[in-house]
Amino acid sequence: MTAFDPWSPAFVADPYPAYAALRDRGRAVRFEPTRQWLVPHHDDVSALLRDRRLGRTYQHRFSHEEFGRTPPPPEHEPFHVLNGNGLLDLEAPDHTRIRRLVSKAFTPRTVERLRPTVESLASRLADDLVADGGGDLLAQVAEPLPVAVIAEMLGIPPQDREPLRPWSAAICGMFELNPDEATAAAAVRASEEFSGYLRGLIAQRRARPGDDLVSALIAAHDGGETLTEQEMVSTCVLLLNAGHEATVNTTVNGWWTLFRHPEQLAALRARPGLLPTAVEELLRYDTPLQMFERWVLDDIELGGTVIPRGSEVALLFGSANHDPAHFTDPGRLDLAREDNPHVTFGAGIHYCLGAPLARVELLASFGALLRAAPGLRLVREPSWKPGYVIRGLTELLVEV
Amino acid sequence: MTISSLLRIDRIACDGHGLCADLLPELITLDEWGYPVIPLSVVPHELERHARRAVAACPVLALRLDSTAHGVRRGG
Repeated sequence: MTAFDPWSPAFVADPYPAYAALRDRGRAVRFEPTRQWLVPHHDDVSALLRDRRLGRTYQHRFSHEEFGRTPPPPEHEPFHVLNGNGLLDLEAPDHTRIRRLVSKAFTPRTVERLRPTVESLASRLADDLVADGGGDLLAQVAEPLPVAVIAEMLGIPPQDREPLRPWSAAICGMFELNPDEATAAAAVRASEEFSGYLRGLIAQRRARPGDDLVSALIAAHDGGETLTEQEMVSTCVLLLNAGHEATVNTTVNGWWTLFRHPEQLAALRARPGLLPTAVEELLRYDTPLQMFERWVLDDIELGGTVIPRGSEVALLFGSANHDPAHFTDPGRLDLAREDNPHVTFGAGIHYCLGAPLARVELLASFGALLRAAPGLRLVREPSWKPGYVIRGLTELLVEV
Repeated sequence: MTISSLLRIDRIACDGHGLCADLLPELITLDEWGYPVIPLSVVPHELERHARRAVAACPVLALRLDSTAHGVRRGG
């Protein structure tokens, strides 16, 4: 078995045995290479996600020096300004103000209205894959669906969408553990280009508002609460990136899981009514976000270990989702699993804003492919991208 | 008599995410276990929109906004 080692391809390919070993070792396991406390148990992950003594940032309360951290080098600033002004890396009161403004676009009711559009796009992509006799499920179905949906919601014109994926990938490189200088340089460059593009788009929408989220953010005046232009840019980048990265990986990791469980795949084909629980089970079984970090703003104690202010905890979603204390037979894929409190969408105030949209997209995408390609087969065993935190396959070659 | 809205929590469904308190700190606080406390459940008109959003944002649909007529004096 490979021990917890986020830079080892063998660990990334199958982190679950290492998680079981971590759960046996304790509730908080120190990991020196990243100076983090690994938290592998479901109870603790779930509680700490909701705990206000932890935060996604510390800068609303402490300077880098007060918190015992080195400020990032000035040349990385474009990335940190972009990322630090996004909802996911803010705490109250800024988080409150911005989440209030964007939440309307992602309520279950708003998202429900998108369902027919999402379904017809998913069908078209699935039909195209079948017409081609197969191909790369990632590039031909999993990726174009959520990218088109979120770009459409934000009002990014189709001819501008091509750089979105490379920008997102470069920025997401910084969410891996101990990113190197080349990764940082690529993220900085992508941050500058992406921000520049969005500033141009915001200027256009200021002049000619449309029926899209960018225009809505410009127009938002909730009791005098508005977004600065930087917050608008950061929010758009977050929505675009978070709006597709995880969905792409859930779709592809999910199909790879199904191909490795042919009897379950056959059962799902025979009983399409299983799809809602199946999607939840695929979200649990192999979550696209394996680790989510929080800063410790005030001392906490976990299983007798005091974790002091200034520490970083790494909540292991993949491990929590396979914790036998919460899931019967967690290593078994059970597409009919009813009681499924997975933490794939997080919890607490940073609970995935896009969860309702992600569910609509996943149901549409899996549903369309199951219907259009009842004989879908794997062509060859896929390989994993090097990233551990955001974990996904490089491609998934299939034939019909 | 006026029509106003009342915030209600389904205590069985509530899972203590705390998003409601983050989105509507004017009316909702959290107890020491992270569950919402609503000292005053009548939503003032100027907070209605925020209240609706807090309701919509609840991951487990445990928060509700009920319209109610009030202004009629009850005993006591």
